[in-house]
This record gives sequence, structure tokens and C-alpha cells, in this order.
Amino acid sequence: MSCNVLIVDDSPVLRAAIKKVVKLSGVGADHIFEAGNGQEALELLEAVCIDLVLLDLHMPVMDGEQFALELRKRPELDGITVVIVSTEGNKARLDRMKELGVVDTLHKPFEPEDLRRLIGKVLGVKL
Amino acid sequence: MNDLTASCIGELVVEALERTAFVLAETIDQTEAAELPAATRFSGISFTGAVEGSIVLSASEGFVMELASSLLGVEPEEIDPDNEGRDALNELANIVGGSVILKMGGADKNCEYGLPRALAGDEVPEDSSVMIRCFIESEGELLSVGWLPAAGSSSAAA
Repeated sequence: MSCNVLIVDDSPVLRAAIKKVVKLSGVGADHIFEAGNGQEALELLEAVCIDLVLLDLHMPVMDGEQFALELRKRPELDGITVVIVSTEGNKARLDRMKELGVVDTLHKPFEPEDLRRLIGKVLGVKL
Repeated sequence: MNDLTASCIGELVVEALERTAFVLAETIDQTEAAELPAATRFSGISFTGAVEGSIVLSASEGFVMELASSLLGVEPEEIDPDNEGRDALNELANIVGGSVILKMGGADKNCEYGLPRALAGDEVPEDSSVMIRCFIESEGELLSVGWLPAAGSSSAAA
């Protein structure tokens, strides 16, 4: 699979755990990128063409909702698929995220297989 | 407000460990917990809004190493307890906290999530009548999880 995936989470250990699952989904290691908050993610998006963002919500500097808002302001980044991977369970907040273009949500704690299936689904690849 | 019990927190913690890190664990009582290595690593996360309080994790170093090694898929000896270990415990606090908030009706309530952070031993709240605490054992190592409602809040236990 030649798509680029960006993992946005302030936990380095969880980014590494998610990266393992993304690799198992068939994405090469050199196609997986990481950011520790929304600000870092936006900066990376200016340099790398990303297909899928796995986005935590609760992060320092710039949280996931702010990131999604900023992403919407940049038409040149239109077409990036964003999936939330978060502990957030509030329906109203998750609905707001859908209005900002998020296509799906994976609630923590998740099983690696759940993430693998979700990646396959949103990237349109059968696993 | 949904009632929260030590047993309920224990179930949430065991589920989080199994689902996220494939760490098998079980709830134990305080007497059994006293037989395990003492907790030397601590993490906490606070919540405000409709549900107010803090989740505090207290873990033995061996537990922290096991958790981080399972998450990362490496041997425990490769884990730095002050780096990956600390981060893994913080992330577990984050996950458990989110699960507790959901259990207390967070899907329909406006709650602000804090960020998890490592705590020094003297920052860990002492047991009190309002704190609900559960004890978890995994591979002979200890994890204790406490929910401390904010003073004056209605986010109290059953």
C-alpha cells in the first residue's frame, strides 16, 4: 500500500503502538509519519502529502479539534481522510468533529485488530 | 450521575489493559495487594465540568515495564522506566480516565479532559473516605487505580 499515514498523538508510546498496527495493515514504515500535537501535524502536512490522519483529540499546544478546524481552512489539504483515535466519548463533541470532516472514530481502549480493520475500511483496501 | 464502584473501575482497568496492550490482569483486594511489590510510579489525570475529579494510578516498576514492553512489542529489559515506562503509565491513566468518565455518563455530559502527567510520590493523594480505589495484579506486579472526586462535586462514588 503506497499511501502516507500521519499519527497525531502526544504519547510517544501510543504512537509507536499505533505505528506497529499501521505497518501490519500493509503501509511501509517510510510511509508512516508522526506528530505530537496538532501544530506539529499541520507543519508536517505542509511538507508531506498525507492520505490518512489518525488523530488524538486531547493534546497540548494544539488539540485535535483545533487541528481539524485549521485543516478545514486550507483547501490545498482537502481530501485528507481524518479518523479520530481518542478517549473522548462525548457525543456532541464527536458530532462537531464529523461536521469538521472526520470520517470515523476509534475509541480508546481499542484492540489492534479494530484499528487495522478501520484503516482498511477508510483506505478502501480489503484486509 | 451513574454510580462508580471499585469493582467497576477494576473492570474498566482490566479491559483497558487487555484491549490496548494484551496485558492480562485481575482485580485483587488490598490484603493481596500488600503482598506485591510496592508502587513507585504514579500518574494522574483530572477532569472538570459535569464530572469533576481525578484518576490516579500507582504502579510497581515491574508493572510499568511490562505495560510499556507489551505496548511497544519489545522485551521489558529494553524499557527505560523514566521514559517509555512513564509515558505508558500516563497513557493508561488517559485511557482509564476516559473510560471512567464515559461510565459516569460522559457521552451526554460536557467534561473537560486534562492531560495525563507523571506524579511524584508526594503528589499522590492519600486514601480518604471519598476516594474509590481498586487493586490490580498482573504477572506478580501491582497497579492501583483511584478515583478522587473534586471537593464539593457531586461526582461521588456509590
